[in-house]
Amino acid sequence: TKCFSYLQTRENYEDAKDEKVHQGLTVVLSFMYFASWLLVPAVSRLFDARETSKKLDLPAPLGFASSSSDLELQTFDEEPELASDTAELMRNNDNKPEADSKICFKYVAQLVTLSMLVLVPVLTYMMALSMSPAFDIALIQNTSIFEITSLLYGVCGLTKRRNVVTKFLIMMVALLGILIVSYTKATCDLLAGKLSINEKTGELNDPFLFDRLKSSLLCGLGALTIGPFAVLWHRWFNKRSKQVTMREQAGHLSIMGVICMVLLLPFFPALAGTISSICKDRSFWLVSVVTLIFGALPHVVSLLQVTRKTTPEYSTTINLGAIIFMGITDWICEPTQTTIVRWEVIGYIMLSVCCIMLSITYYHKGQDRYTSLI
Amino acid sequence: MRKELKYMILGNLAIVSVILYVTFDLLTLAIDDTFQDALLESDLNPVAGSEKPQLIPKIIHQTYKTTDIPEVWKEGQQKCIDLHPDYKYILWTDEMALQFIREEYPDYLETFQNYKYPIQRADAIRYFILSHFGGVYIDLDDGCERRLDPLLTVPAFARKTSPTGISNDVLGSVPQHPFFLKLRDSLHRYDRNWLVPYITIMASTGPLFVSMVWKQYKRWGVPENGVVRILQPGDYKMHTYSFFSISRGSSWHLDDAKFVKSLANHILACVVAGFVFAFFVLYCEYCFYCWLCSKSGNNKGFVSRFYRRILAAVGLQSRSDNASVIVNARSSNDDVRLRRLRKDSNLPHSFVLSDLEKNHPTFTDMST
Repeated sequence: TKCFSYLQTRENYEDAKDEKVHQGLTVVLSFMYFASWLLVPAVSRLFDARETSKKLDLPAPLGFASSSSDLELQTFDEEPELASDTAELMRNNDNKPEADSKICFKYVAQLVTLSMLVLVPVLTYMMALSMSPAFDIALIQNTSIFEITSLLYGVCGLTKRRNVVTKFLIMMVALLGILIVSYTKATCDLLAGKLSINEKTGELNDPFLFDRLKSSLLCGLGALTIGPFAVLWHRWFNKRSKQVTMREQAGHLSIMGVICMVLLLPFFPALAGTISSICKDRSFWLVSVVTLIFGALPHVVSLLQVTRKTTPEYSTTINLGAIIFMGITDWICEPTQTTIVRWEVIGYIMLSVCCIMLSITYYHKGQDRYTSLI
Repeated sequence: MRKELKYMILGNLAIVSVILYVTFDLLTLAIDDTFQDALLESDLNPVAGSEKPQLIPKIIHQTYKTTDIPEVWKEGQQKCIDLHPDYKYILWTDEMALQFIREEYPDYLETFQNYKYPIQRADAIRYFILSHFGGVYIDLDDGCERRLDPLLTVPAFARKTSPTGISNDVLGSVPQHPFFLKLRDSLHRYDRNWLVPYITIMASTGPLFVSMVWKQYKRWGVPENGVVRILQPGDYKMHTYSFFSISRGSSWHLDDAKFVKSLANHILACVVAGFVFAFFVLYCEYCFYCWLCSKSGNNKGFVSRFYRRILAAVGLQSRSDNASVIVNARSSNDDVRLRRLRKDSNLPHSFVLSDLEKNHPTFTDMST
């Protein structure tokens, strides 16, 4: 986030004040972000090779669930899924070419749907980064994703409905921590001299005030489509009744990356000015490649691993962690300008404790899960 | 989909629709299109000989509760009078305003008199006098810096405000201009109490009201010669060619206004608070939904048990009922499990029992 923000706000471009250059950068950086997804299949081979060697040492899961309580708590129906897969297989045997084309069409439709759902938050995120500080955007985006995924996983039956109220209370404390951090952040910026108040009116002397409001809303609302994306991803490509390999999921992801890049292509004819500006700029390419390889790619790969190995709701804690680490990054990157007040520290402590508590509550190893479901 | 979930989704959609309907005009303000109708350099500083004819009558209107104007505003008022000796100057006092409404617009008298805050009447009267007489209205805290003649060449004008929309402190129009007629006619509809004085004033007669009506006015096409031109911030104040200068104003601001304005200093926290509140409401609904499910399902939820205990304590339900419910719940779970097994057992053996052993090197293939 910090690097993307740097790429969007630095003044190295030929016509840095031109609005079109910044709009073009949003599209170019989104395009490059999706291009990095093409590298995921290559990275996934490393994980699959390690898992295959581990599996060979383990006994295969046998029989039905050993505990009846596990069965009672399952909120989503695995059996119909199995039955429908079976029926599909049987149909395949009867009328293969027709069934193949149907499945292929369904698969493409699923990928296109997911691509469109993931394109919106990435575009709004990049757009917001050009208008607001990186920390603000990281905070609002992760808060929004945390909220929508926590809610939709529950409503769509992807979580165990046990201790719902307790989990809710922990989540609210975490969100309260985020609220305290966001409130005190402005106070810290005022104390550090990053912002100033007009003494006559008492208002903030910030010509970009409306931009900051716009970008926060844009990023927060845009990130909401991650909710349906996450639910559909788990339903379609992260089936708990099957041992899905990382290579398969990486394959889906890379195709989605290509679809998103294709969806962005119509914007390119209008980006001649931006492309000519960045073509000559070596530092742009250096920073962007470093950002994608050491930032975006590990993030996607780790998310894939986490969602595959644990319960879907566990991945929501990543967003809380991202906010904490963004605070630390801000503090490291701007050591001379960062002022910390007591309440900000309290906010971070609340957030960290709740993040750990939620992680412990949500964590269930994939292996346990699969044995309880077969 | 469960019946409870269906009702909850429909309920939420209905609430969102109502909120969208109520706040639609406010949401449209997020798109700032004040530049489209901006007063251009060529309009404000025309080359000698290319001046356009003046449409707005040469009248300056100002308002105050009495003729006894505070010292802080006297200089600005005098500047306006001195710069425009050929203009007619009218200072509208509260008494004059009431008399005018009583005589010319008796239908609006009740609304006008019922305003809770005096500033609402001061806001409202300017729309009446501009639509009736035409001319230029200037707030007393806005002093004139140059002659207003270039502004009179358009049918109507207002000034852009920050962060979006238009303000009502400087307005100008020809008599019976459709936008000002719309403003006048909308006053009754927008006369609502929003509990917070600052918001009530802003949304019923103030700049927010003007901006929302302006958005509506433009939505379905502006009538011929009905365009409202927008004075940009640089032309309004603090620049060499600005028309006005500002002295300390906002005399009607109470503590709530200061609080609302201070929220701008914490804009990110405001957005986060909105998201947290929405999550709180929706997750509470989800908890309620889980409770409903547990009540209609296996009755093992904490809330459900608590509810049953209360019923038992009050005497509305016996403990034996409670026990029977638990027994029924267990049997219903058994039913579910049996149903699942039966469903699986109907499947062909080849699909249920996959040939794991043959394909796995650690197992011995017994068939050979």
